[in-house]
Amino acid sequence: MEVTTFVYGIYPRSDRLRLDYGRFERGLLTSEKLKTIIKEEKDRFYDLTDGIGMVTDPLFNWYDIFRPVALSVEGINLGPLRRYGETNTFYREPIIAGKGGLRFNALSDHEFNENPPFPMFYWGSRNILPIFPSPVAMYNMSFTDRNVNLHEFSENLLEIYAKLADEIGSKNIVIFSPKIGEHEIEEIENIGPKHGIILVSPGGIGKSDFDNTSLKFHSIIVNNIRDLELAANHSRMPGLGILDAHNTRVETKEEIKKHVEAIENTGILKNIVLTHNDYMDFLPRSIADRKVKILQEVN
Amino acid sequence: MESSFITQEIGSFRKPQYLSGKFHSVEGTEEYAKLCQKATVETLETFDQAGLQNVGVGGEMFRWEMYEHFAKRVSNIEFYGLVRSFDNRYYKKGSVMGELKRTGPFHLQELEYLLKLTQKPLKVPITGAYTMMEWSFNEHYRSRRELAMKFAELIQEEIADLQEAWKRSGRKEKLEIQIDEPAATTHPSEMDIVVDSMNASLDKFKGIEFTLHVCYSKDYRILYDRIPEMGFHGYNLEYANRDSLSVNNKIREGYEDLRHFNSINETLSEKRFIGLGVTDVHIDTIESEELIEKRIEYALGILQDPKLLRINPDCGLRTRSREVGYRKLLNMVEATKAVDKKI
Repeated sequence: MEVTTFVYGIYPRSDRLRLDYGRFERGLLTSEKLKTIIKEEKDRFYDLTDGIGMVTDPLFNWYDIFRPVALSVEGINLGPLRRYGETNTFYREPIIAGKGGLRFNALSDHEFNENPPFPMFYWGSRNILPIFPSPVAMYNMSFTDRNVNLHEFSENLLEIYAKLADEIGSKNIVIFSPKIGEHEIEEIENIGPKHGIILVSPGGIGKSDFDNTSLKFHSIIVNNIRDLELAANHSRMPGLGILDAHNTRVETKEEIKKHVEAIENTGILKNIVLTHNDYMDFLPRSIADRKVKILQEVN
Repeated sequence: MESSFITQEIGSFRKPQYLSGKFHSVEGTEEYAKLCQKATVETLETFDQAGLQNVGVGGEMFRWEMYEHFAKRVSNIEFYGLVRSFDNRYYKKGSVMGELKRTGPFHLQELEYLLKLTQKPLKVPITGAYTMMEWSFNEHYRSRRELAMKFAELIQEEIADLQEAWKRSGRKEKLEIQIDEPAATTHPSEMDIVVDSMNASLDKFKGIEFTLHVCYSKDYRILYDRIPEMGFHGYNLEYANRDSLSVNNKIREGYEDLRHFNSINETLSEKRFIGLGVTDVHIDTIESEELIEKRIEYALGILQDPKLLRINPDCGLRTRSREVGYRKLLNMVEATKAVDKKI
C-alpha cells in the first residue's frame, strides 16, 4: 500500500511570529517588516515539512479559516466574533450580502487591519496546494442575506478558487469543511473536471452525502478507519487523520505503523494519505512540530 | 432613591503596563503582590469614576488569564505553549498529565485584599469545571466527565476557602460568586456533564449568591432549558456582540432569545435574574448611551420586572484599552440611570 503524507491548514504561529504580530498591532513594526517575517516563517515551515508528500501554505497570516476569503471577495463583510465549532477558538462571522468577483488580486500584497497582511498564499520554492474553506460550510457558518442563494454563492466562490489555483499552478485544490452540510458534495462538483479536489472534513462524511454526485475526488480525508472504504469509493486517494490535532499526546511511529498495517490487511486500499484530524492551530507549536516529525518518519 | 438596576462588571479589565509587562517574571513574589495591589486600587478608582456599583474583584489584576491562573495552581498540569483563541490572541492551554490536586487557593489573596480595600459590593469570578476540562488537553483521565468532575471538586475546595475569608471579614451581605463557563454550550450533547459538574461545585454551600457567566454561545436556549436543574440565582450573559449597533431597530436581534429565558423563568417559583450584556468587549466602538438605553428597555420589555435585570458588559474588558473600557462602563452606567429614571 502506497503511503502519502499531508500537512494542511492553519499551522500554529511560532512565538517569534506571535510576538511580532503583537508589535505590529501596537505600531512597533511596519507592515513591510511583518511581511518579510511571515515569508521567513513560511520558508521555515516548508523546511520543517521537507519530505511530507503534500502541504498547503501554513496560513500564518490567516486570522481564521474564512477571513482572507471574506475580505477579498465582493459581497462579503465581516461580522461579530463567533465560536468556531466546538472549541475555544473564534472566527469573525462573514456577512454574505451578495456575490461578486475578487476585490483585488488575493495573491498580491494588500493591507487590511482585520487580517494583516496579504497575499493569501506564499510558497517560495515549494509546490503547495491551495486551501480554501468549503463554500457551503462558509455559507452555513455566515450570516446570510435571504436574497443570496447557496448555489449561486457556491458557484461563484468555486470559480474564484479555480482561478487562484491556476495562478499558483496547482491542479489540485484542498477544500476544507469543518462539517459537511446538505448539498455540499453536489456543490463542490461544480468546480468542473479541470481541478482535482482534496476534501478535508474533520466532522466526518456519511454515505448519503454522496447520493447525488458522480464526482471522483482526488482525495477524501476521514478521521475514522470505518469511513475509509466510503472515502475510497469516491476518491482516488482516501486519507486518514491519524494524528490528533486536539491532544498534546504525541503518537508514536509504532502506533501509526500498527494502524497502517491493519488497514493494509483489509486489502481494500491500494494507497492512503496519512495526515492529522483537524488543522494544527489547536495545538501549541512545539507539539505540532513533533507530530509533523512523526509523520515524516512514517513517510 | 435606590436604583432599580445593579450595574456590575464581568471580571477582567486591561492591566496597566507596569503590571502586564512584568507579570510572569514576578508572579508569586512580594513585588507581584505589590503591583497587583497597586493596579487593583487604580482599577477600583476607574470603576468608581464610571459609577459602577458592583466592582467584582477590581478587574482581576491578580490573574493573568482565567484558565491559566487556575491551572497553574493545580498539580499535574503541564504547559507546552500557547494556543490561539482568536486573531493574535493566545492562551496557555494545559495538558492534564496526572491526578489533579490544588497546590493552594486560587483567589484568596485577591479577595482578602479587596475586603480590606473597599466596602463596595464584590463578586468573585471562578472559572468553571466544564470550561477547565474543555480548555485542557486530557492525557490522564478516562473520560471528559471524569476530568470535569475532578475540576468541580477543586472548585468546591476553593469556594470553601473564600467563604471562610468572607465570614472572617464580618461582611453582612452575601458572598457573590460568579462561575465563568464560556464553554458551557459548546457541546450540546454534553449538557449533562455541564450541569452535573456545576452542581457538584456549588451544592454544598448555603448563604452564597451564585451566578453563571457564559459568553459567545451559539445557542443559549440549550442553557436556558437546564436552568431549573441548576443552583444559580442569576445568569450574566453576552448579548451586545450579537446585536446591531443601530439605535433605531425595532427588533433587537441580540436580545430576542431572552423570550426563551423568560418562558423558562416564568415556570420557576424562585425567579432567576439576567446580567444583561449591553456593551461589546471585542470592539473599540463606544456604544452610545442611547443605544444602551434601547437595549436595556428592550430586555425590560421582555422580562417586565427590573429586579430580574442587572446591567454589565458582555464579558471581561481586558481586550480593550483601559480608556476604552472606562468609556464603555461610563456609558453603561449613565444609560442605566436614564432607564431607571423612566420607570
